[in-house]
Order: sequence, then C-alpha cells, then structure tokens
Amino acid sequence: MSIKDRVKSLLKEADLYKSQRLLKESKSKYLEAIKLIQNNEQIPNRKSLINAITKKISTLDTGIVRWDKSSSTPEVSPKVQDLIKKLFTPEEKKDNDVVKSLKSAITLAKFGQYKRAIKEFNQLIRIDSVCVPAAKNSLKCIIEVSSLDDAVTQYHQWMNKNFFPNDKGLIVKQFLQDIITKKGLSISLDTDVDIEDKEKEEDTGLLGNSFMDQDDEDIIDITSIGIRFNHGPKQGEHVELDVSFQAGNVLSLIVSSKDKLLIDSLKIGVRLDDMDFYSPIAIFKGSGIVEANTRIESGPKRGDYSLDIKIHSI
Amino acid sequence: MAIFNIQKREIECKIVYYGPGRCGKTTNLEYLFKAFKKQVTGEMVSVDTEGDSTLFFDFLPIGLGKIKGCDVRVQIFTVPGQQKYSSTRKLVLKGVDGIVFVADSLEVRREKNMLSLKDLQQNLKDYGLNISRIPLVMQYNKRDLADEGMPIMSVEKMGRDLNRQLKVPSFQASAIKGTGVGNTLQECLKLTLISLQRELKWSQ
Repeated sequence: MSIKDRVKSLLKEADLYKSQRLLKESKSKYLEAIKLIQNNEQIPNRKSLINAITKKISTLDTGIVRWDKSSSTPEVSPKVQDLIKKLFTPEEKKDNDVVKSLKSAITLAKFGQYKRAIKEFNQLIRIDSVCVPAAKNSLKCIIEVSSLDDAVTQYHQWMNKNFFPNDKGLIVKQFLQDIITKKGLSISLDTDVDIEDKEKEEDTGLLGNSFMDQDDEDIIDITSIGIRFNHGPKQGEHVELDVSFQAGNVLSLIVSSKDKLLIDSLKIGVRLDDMDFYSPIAIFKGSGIVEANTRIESGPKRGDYSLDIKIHSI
Repeated sequence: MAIFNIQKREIECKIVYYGPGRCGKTTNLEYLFKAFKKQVTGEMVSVDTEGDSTLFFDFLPIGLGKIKGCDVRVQIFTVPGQQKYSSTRKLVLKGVDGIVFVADSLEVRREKNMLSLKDLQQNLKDYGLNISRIPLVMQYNKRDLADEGMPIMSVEKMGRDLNRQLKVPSFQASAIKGTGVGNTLQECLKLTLISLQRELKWSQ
C-alpha cells in the first residue's frame, strides 16, 4: 500500500470510529496519520493536511473532556425516576406501604437520584417504624449531593424539632458521628440539651448504660443472609438464606433437610467469616457464628433444620 | 430472578444485554423493537446521555405467549457499557435470568471486550451466580464493518478470546442491519426458559 493510500485508510478508520463515538480510538488513528504525513515529505499539501487533522483532533479532545467530566449519575426526569422505582425496587409480599416507599426511595438513591430520594426519605422520617433508616439514608444523600456540613445542619434541624421518638435520635446521631469520625473531622453533634443531659447523667453515673442500650437497639433488621464458604464441603460456594426470625443479633433460619451438605457445613461453633447481611436498607459485610443446629421434630417443617447464627461483626 | 405467579400461571423473567461501551447493545434492542412488534408489549425506554451512550439502561418488555400453560413475559434490559457506569451496571444486572454478551468485532476494541466479560463474571459472582452456569449467549457484533474495509477480528479469534472456556452458543451479527439479532435473542430465551423450567419445575 502506498503512503498516500495508507494515510487515506487511517483517516477513513478514524472517521468511522468518530461516527461510532469511539473518540479515543479515533484520536489515536488521526495521530498516526499525522505522524505518517510528517515523516513523508513527498506528500503534497502536508501542512494544510496536518492542520485539518489537528482541527479534527481538537474537536475530539473537547468531546473526550466533556465525557470525562460528565456525571455518571445525573438527575433524570420524574418519569424516568418513576420507571427506575418500578423496575428496580425489590418487592416482598410482606412489605406494607411504608416499607415499599422506603425501598423505592433507596432505589432512587442507588441510581444517584439524590434530590428526589431526600424528599421521599424526609416524608418517611415522621413514621416511627422507618424513621431511623429514612433519616440515615437522607443524610447519606445530602452528603452525596451537597456536603457533610449540610447533613449536620439537617440533623440539628430534626433534633430541634424533636423529630425522633425515644432514643432513635441517638442512633441517627451515632450514625452521623461515625461518618464524621471516618472522615477525620472533629464536628460535635451535641446540642445544648445533649450537653445538659450528659452533665446530669455523669452526675448520676448513667452515661455508660445509655450507650449500651443504644448498641443493642442499633442491630438492624436482617431479611436474608449470604454465606461464602472458605473451607469445608461447601468451599468456594456462596449460599443465600432467608431469615425466619431475628432476636437481637441472633438470626434464625430454616434449612431444608435435602441440603445435607449445607447442614453439615453449619455445625455449632462454626465461624463464618465472609457473610452478607441483607437488610431493607443495604447489604452489610460481616461475620457470624453458628449457635444452634437443630432438627425440627414436628409441624410442617418437620425434618428440616433450624439454625441460629449470631452476628459477630457487621 | 424470575417471578412465577402460580395462581395466574405467569412467569416474568429478565434478560440483560451486557458488553463494552459502544458495542451495539442499544442497537440490538432498537432492532428488536422495530422487527418484533407482535411480541413487544410496551414502549422501549432508553435513558441515554447527550453523547448517545446508555446512561442507566434501555428497557424493552416482550411477551412470548403461552409456553407449557404459562404466560411468559420477558423484560429485556441493556446495561451502560462505559467504565464509569460500573455501579449502575451492577444494579441493572441484579436478578438476571439470561444474558446476551455483545462483543465488538473491531480490532481496536479487543481489550474492552475482554475487560467487560471479566466485569460480568465478577458482578455475577458478587450476586452468588456463576458465569459458566447462567444461560449465556455470545454475539459478535459489527461484522458488516468488514465490508467497509475496517479491521475487524475473525470469529475464531473472538471465540478464543471470549468463549474458549465458556463454550456458549455464539452468533455473528450486524445489529444496525438486523442480521443475527433475532437468532441471538431466540437462543438466549431458549436457554433461559430451559433453565427456569428446571428451576421452577413448571409444566402444563
């Protein structure tokens, strides 16, 4: 192939990649063409040819920069947001309307639709049963869309208006405080009332107890778990099981008698280091210990096994 | 994860078109939307960017009618292929029943194909699924570009790169012209329904 044909071929290739919006590939071919032209003095109108190609590269560069800078999750129209909620919100028969609303707001947040998600979380904050996950998720969205300072301001607004019943405000406070600490900042979330209360508690020696109570209450609802076995007969497998009952940090599950290998892998005392805990809010990584593995002797699940797994860390 | 309504005898399953950015996943769906009007049960929805790349997903609902006494409905999705949309890609993949992996035949996209397949394998693994067990079909797209003198990879080379271990059915295609598009989906649906039939044990 002559040099002229080679240049033509490179330019054709570059133009095609450009038409397919393969911008970087297109630029690379234009650059190859320039190099070839520069190295071959016999090509007529070299200068004007190089100028024309350089202009094309410049247009490509603008496109590449615009693409690199564009958000990966821009806000989309309410119609598309509704579709995202409809198509991607996990549904369970037992979910009531409030839980459904919480789940669909979480779906919006996952797809980066933070502004609308915040609105929907804030509508749920006054509902006792979901106020904690709604508040936590709302704060997370505010941090994503705005700043940690704004999340702190929002927290104080809620506290000043006594949004949260009982000690639930403390859970939200601890959640936000953890984020602040992880970022290495030293913002205190104590309000004047908190400080007064603390002083009183310190006088009566109650401070330690109140934090212990909070720890107990902070165990989230787990709907199902995933176990990745690193050893034993199920080594390398990932198994998902539904939680049938939860008491604090102990999860009860039913395992079918047909799954002998799984039952054998979950003997009492076995430590499960690679677990996923699925909650309505998010998936948490953690570990657990098998506390009970009992054969069910009566009822419709007779013959199956009831397992208790204690959450060790989450 | 397919939804099986035993009382209504309805099954709804999810097919996802996966592959690197600009490989032609959306073009596949656009062709299906135009060519299979009888089966399409709703509008095709595309959520794309200014640059025409898929931003979140494309969505096309189709109905296959009654199969073994069950009304089978299929939700077809594409994922956004570009690197920066990795979290959205994973969200769209969740609950998948069958996959079409669209590979770009252009020589310059060879590495992107392999990275995308690796990304698929990892995302499936994160959901507890195994790429060699899930219904999967490979499509080598943009074959028509050879006619324009563009450097494309041979089918054998693409097979060695992407399908040596998986050994799944593969199809040559030109989504823009519609060649191979229907066959690819048909095979994927066949494998998916066989798998669901085995899993859900549904029969007449």
